[in-house]
Amino acid sequence: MKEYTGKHPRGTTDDALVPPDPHVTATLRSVVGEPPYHLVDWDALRASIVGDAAALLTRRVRRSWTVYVTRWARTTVPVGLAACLAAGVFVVYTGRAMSSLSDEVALTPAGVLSTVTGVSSRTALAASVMQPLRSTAVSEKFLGDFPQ
Amino acid sequence: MPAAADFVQSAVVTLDQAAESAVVGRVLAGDVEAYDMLVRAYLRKAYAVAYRVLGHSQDAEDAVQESFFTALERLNTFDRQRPFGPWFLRIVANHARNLRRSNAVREGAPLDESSAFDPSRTPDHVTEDSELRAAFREALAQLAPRPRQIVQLADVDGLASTEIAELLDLSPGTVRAYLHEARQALRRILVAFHGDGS
Repeated sequence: MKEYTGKHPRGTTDDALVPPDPHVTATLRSVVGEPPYHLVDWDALRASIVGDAAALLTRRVRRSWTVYVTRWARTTVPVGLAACLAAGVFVVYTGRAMSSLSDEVALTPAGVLSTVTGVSSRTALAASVMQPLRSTAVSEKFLGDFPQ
Repeated sequence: MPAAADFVQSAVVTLDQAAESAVVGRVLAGDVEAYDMLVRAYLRKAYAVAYRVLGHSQDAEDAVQESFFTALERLNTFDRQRPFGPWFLRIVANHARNLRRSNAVREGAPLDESSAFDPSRTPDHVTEDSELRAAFREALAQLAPRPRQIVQLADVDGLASTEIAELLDLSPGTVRAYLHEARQALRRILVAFHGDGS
């Protein structure tokens, strides 16, 4: 007999670990007695059990995953398409804006300044730079050194 | 009267765990034929368990029928990595116990877990007083309740140790240890009568 270890590896049977003695089993059955299997109409019992289950199983079929997918597809597909369209438009417009900004910055250093300072032309930029000087005593002195 | 033994032998389906898991999956998808396979695989065991608890054939059939339906309703909670038998037979035993607790059981021989294994309650046709059987009954009666229950569920009703473990709230290892103990004790009786146990 295989040594009993208390472990029961998957796939092994009880008989492999604790083998039954056929004589013990036969005597035990004759002494204790089996359930009265002969009283059962097995075909009828089985048919009744399966018949009871048929309705439940049919409902289960209707509730299968395909039903849920079909139901949700009516909502999710249009929403998904709209989202894709919106995303596409966003990408196109964002790409154009980025492209024009990068061109201006690359070609004209003043553009970089104007981008940073928020003014739109060189003249305006110069004016905005000179504006603080005009309002100070230093600037008046500086201007006074020049002939009127 | 149906030819029960013939039907049982021809209609019983034996499923290994992989096949059983696949069958359960098909049942979950609504396959009636797969459900029929599960029923055929466990009908006899379910009846045996229910009968041991209820002691009445018709009540046992009712409990079996309800148990199969309950199992189907709860099948989506069943872990398919585990064997179906222990899970299902526990449902059967619970249904049978509930039926026994209710007043719906018929007059008969209601059995509880201890009396179900009482040798004095065995059918008349199997209680002939041969010396061997008398000694065997005595040995059986002297076993502790657990080993006695377990050896009967295993060797008379054909349940696996994992199924018995689930029914009795024991570990499978404990069940096998009790089973070994009981078989050894009963075998000693046979050895005493026949010398080598044969």
